[in-house]
Amino acid sequence: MKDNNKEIDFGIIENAEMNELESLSEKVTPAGSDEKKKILEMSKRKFNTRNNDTESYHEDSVSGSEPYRPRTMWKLFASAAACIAIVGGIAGGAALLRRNGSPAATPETTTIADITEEPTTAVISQSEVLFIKGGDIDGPVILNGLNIKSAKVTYLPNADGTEFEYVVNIELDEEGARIFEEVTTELAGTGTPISIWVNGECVSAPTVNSAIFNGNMIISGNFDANTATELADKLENSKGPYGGPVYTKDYGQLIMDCMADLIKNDSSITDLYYCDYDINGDDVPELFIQYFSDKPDPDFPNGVCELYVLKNEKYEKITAKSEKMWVHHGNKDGIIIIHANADPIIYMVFKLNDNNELELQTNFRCAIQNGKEVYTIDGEECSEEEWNEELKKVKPDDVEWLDELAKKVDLEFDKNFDEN
Amino acid sequence: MTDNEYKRLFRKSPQEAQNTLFDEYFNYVYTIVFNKLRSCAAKEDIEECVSDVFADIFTYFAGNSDKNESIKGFISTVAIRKAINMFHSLTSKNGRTVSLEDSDADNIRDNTDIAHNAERAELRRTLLRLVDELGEPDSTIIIQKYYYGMNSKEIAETVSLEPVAVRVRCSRAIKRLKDKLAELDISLKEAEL
Repeated sequence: MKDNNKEIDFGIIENAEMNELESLSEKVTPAGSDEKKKILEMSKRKFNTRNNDTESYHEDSVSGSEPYRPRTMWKLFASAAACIAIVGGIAGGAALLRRNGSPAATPETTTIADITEEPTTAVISQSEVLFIKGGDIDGPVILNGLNIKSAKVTYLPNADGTEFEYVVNIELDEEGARIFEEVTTELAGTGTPISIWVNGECVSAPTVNSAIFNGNMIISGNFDANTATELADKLENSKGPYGGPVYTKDYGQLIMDCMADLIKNDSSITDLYYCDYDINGDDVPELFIQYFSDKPDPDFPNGVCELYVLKNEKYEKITAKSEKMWVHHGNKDGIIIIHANADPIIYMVFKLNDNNELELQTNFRCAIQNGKEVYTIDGEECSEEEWNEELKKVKPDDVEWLDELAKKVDLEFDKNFDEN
Repeated sequence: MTDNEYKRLFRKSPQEAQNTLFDEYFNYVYTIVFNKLRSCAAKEDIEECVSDVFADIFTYFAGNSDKNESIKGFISTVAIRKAINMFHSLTSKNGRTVSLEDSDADNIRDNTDIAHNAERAELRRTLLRLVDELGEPDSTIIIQKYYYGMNSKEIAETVSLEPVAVRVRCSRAIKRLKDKLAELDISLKEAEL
């Protein structure tokens, strides 16, 4: 790093004492914000690689100096080696002379083996994985399979160190780790287990001794190499809760196409979430989309929800814009509750029939007429209590599809994808 | 910030905890590392070193430690050691390092010139004092430009001025600084150091 200024050399500041550096660092920002951001990213990346890949990190960090050998020994070896080299030279020369007489040299043939691997066609079936508070499958769900970042088989010594056993090491994603930490903090020392269920079967129900912060856990329990691998595979290839989006056919591309179209037609969209979820039990996912734009529709300041269904190999919108949507999780009864608008308040209950058409079941409406709130169900006036009660019957309070299942779309990616 | 505070934050959100820690100590670590490596390292090396320091710190606090202390001392120690390691690995190629197998390995002397060092320390203090006397934001601009080698745009961002204003202020400030040095009869021309 060269100074621009030849008159004064600021290099004199080098090797300053700590107190000088401290006051300097308090006063002067040493680098631009871009550089700072870059360094933060580098740090985090390094930290993450170390954490996720502890073993290779240790390998990397092994360092040391070469063992010292007395020099005199080398001199001896060196002169011996020189002698051999000279002898070799003579012998080699002789060999060359002889060879010149017979020019027919055997051509070297090398065969390059074709290294084409058979594409792996094995279909990995997705399993349903749930982490549940307590030992009962009806207990509250803590995490689902989507929270599992990786599940690997590890060979570890058991508690008294006498034998080795196979265990499955689970790493959770960031969100999962955070939730898991909260729950383990709550359960630590209480004796309440956290049970892990794969396809409705409890694979492990450990009790929590102390809070687990980093989202890493180990499931042990008399596995052999095969069963451990099997479990790890199941955990790793798991999908969402409630039977999750497990379909016999892959609709991912159609879903992506549909959203790409949406983005293309409305460039003001800033955030886009989607959720593929089969609500009527026909093994074809319906597509829920929620988006936010920088020029929001005045009627829908909190984002717009839309429902798309598959018709003729293409996802088509079947609802008007609405503020929120709910479904009955896991029932697959085709019921969709739509909160249409803030004023007047309208909740509509639809049923998605087998032809992928919506049938209106009930219409809840609360409008202000002459300064008074008027509640109606299917056009018939009723009291506020009745209205709320009826609504509660169809609209679950606690479940909203977006909260648990929605995935965010990387808009940049989709836009690029679209252009190509 | 104590390490318990950090851990509490880390439990809540690891990302946020790391960002906070980084924000709080970035200037400190960068200043330390830069101070050691300025003469021998490229900007990329310094960035590398600073990120190493933070990765180390993150890793350390992700593990277990039961102390409840200010982490500033810890951070400065990590920073200094990393910087010195980096310094050694960078300068080993420049012939400053002598192999033990070399015949003159026995004759290595410590070249530290105590008188010279003391003089440098004195000069350094004077220079920093004079730069300080320029007042803000001039002193910041001067240090960022001539010591850290930042460009006017980057400086403008940190002192919230226009790049043009930075250039003007900078040229005036360096002139004032020169005058001040001349008054004290100090010459800091590069050739003399």
